[in-house]
Amino acid sequence: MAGRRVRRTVRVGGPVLALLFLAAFPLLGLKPYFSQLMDMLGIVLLLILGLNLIFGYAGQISIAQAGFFGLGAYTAALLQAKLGWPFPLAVLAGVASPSLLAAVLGTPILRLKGYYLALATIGLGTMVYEALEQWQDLTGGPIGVMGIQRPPALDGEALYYYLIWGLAVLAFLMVRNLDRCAVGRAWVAIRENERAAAAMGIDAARYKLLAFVLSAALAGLAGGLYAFLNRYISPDSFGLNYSMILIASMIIGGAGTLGGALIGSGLLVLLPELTQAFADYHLLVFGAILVLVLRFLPRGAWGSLRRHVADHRAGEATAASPTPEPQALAGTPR
Amino acid sequence: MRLHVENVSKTFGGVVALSAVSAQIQPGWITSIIGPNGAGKTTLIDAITGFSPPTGGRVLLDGRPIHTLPPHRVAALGISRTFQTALLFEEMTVLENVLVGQHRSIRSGFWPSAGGLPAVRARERRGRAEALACLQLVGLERLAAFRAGSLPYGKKRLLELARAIASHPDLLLLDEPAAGLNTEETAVLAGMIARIKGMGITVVLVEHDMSLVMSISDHILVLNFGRRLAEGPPHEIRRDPRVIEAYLGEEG
Amino acid sequence: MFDQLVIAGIATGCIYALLALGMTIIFNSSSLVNLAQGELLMAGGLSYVSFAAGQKLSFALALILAMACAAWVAMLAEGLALRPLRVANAPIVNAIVMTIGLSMVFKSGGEVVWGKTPLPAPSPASTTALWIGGISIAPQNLLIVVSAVLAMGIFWFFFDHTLIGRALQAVSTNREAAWIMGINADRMVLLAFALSGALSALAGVLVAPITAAAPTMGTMLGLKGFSAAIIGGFGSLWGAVAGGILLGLSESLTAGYVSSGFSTFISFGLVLLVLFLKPAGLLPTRR
Repeated sequence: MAGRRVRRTVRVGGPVLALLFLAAFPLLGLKPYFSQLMDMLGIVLLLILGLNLIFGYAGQISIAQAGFFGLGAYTAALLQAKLGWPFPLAVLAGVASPSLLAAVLGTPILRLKGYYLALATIGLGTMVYEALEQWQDLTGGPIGVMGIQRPPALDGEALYYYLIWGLAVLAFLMVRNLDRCAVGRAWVAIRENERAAAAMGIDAARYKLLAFVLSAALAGLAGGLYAFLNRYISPDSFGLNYSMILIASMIIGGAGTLGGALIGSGLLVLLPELTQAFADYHLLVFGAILVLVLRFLPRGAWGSLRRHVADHRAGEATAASPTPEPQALAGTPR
Repeated sequence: MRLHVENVSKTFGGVVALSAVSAQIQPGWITSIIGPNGAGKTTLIDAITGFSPPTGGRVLLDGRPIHTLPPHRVAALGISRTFQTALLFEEMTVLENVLVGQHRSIRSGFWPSAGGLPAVRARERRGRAEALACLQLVGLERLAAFRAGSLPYGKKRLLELARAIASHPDLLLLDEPAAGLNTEETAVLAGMIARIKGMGITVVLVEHDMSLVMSISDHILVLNFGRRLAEGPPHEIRRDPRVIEAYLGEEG
Repeated sequence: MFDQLVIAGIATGCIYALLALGMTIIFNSSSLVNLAQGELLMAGGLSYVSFAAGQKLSFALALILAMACAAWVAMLAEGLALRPLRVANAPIVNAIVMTIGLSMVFKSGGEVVWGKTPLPAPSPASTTALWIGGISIAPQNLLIVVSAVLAMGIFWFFFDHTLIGRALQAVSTNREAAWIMGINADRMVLLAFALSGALSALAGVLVAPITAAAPTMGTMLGLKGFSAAIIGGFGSLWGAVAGGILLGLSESLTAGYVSSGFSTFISFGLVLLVLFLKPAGLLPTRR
């Protein structure tokens, strides 16, 4: 069947092409402006992949992602700039600190639901932001942290790009693997109906915590990489606004889907560039798109596409025969 | 797998939903729990499966108290249930719903799962094959790729049944599985329950449909106002004056 | 110093209370938490500046127009964005994120209309401190408290003693029953949004002379209003007011005695504690 052939070609060919493009990108010799953009794309992808786990798959509202991002960035930045820690250890610590915070506070936070959970994660994110801004002795306050140094080996932009994207691709593969097995299904089950999930033996609290800690870990990794990207960070980048923008991107792309994470990341990074002429308007456009998406296409771009294709395929499968009736079973009851 | 309900009581605020209910569930039998609305039937199921722990009394499985366990732990012991309103995972496909039923048997640890190891993928393939078999049991295999939310109500109930069976339970509690089904669908359901019994699964059935109950039950437990009213084989219960009065009293 | 802190705390608390009240009114009638409540305050504050400073209108007129503006924005949001979600029985998450989207739109819309620079806001209250009972009180704070109390009093009267107010109560208690009794629930929800917008706008008008009016002025205040509502027991009108005062007081005292820089940090820490330990709120529940 031609349809299946096309689908398989796209399914295999698409990622191969994408990977080839990613690998070849630094060699294209484009202006540094473009490589900066691609670097940010990789970092944002990590953020949104993480957010997708707790918010998209497991359906638990988390408005703390920027806070985890900031905590990771500052941990890595301060350890390197102030204490001279080597790059790999600093970034690892950047992954560890938000993960630990999520692990410790995750259990009481995730007991909450709906708008209580929303406020709790807003509170968490805000507390991190305030700590970063106010604890001037430690963090430098609004001025930020300067003089973050990469190891000489990674001073070149091309190599740092490969590092970012190597990690982003690994994270993507991890999420894809989880999506396709019992873990991912357990998250979706929890999102769709926690009661039924429990009846199937799924320990909802444990799975939620797993998603939360993973989301924090990916955010922390993104933070560490971000700190060394520009060699400077300030609290501004890690406030509530950014958490909301991340959520908007995820939902516009399609929550709970891998394609959605890609689309959302692309949108987040590219939209400000496309609307450069109207720099003041890009948040407005973002918000407007989010409102329209929620109103008309709540599954997001990729989610809606996937649903459309799946419904179509399911329809095809039963097109030959009418709606099947349950088979009458042999052996009538007494 | 012997289930023993021992003097179970449940109060919500001031309301007494269950009062010192005791019952022994015979392994391999189909036991039905009947009674007028509000008799406490679903509350009893909730108490057994950990969704609503009893305020008094105990529930014992093979002599082991299980009434303090959370629902997912009860499920892990081999007790599955369905709900009064079919609680499906609407966004997932029919097949995926059944796969969730197999969660305990096909899940792997986090790291192997994240790494996409061959063993994990093998488990997935095995799970899918078994899930398809469960769907064949209820006649839904052609709808495997459909979104669960798009199914008509009768088929949703069947899907819930398939999902509950997929977990290979020793004990299956069905909460009003025939609710909303027409006569033909109910007859098919009866056949399926009989077949489930044939697989060695102990069935506890909460139902209002008397013809279904009388035709397939080995044993019937009657509840009224949260208390055990009567117990016995169908032909006795059918003629029990107290049971008749309880139901007539409801109609009056 | 203690007295000063208490006065300031009560004034701030009144602002929080107005916001909390607005959110509670919306929640009770439509089961929706409006994370864009702060932006309604902003709409009120900024339009007030346009009317009072730009058009040189009197305080009263500018206030009423500002409240009308915010009410109109709120009703627009409900009618165009939120009601369709309710009608489609969308999951609660979608509604919450929709209000996040709306807050983004309002905030950046505010930037487009008024620019990013904070604008000074005029006030009928003088800037010289009053001396009442040996305590120095800033007239603006007095204005805040008096206006808030007056507004809440009017709202209470409206809610309990007018036909429309009782209709709104009915919809908040049981929407189906209200429908059956012939009350148009959709229109009542619109009314709830309008009232909520008006109350938040009042808060914006009262706070703008102190903080200056800018598109970003509402976000944190809105969140604190939400926190106040939860502290007082979400869904209870009394709770919203009490929670607001409590939060304002605790914030003021913390800022004075512990650390002013970390007062927001501590406030949210308190909110988290309440959520962990007593999510139903600190006050005895009535609903």
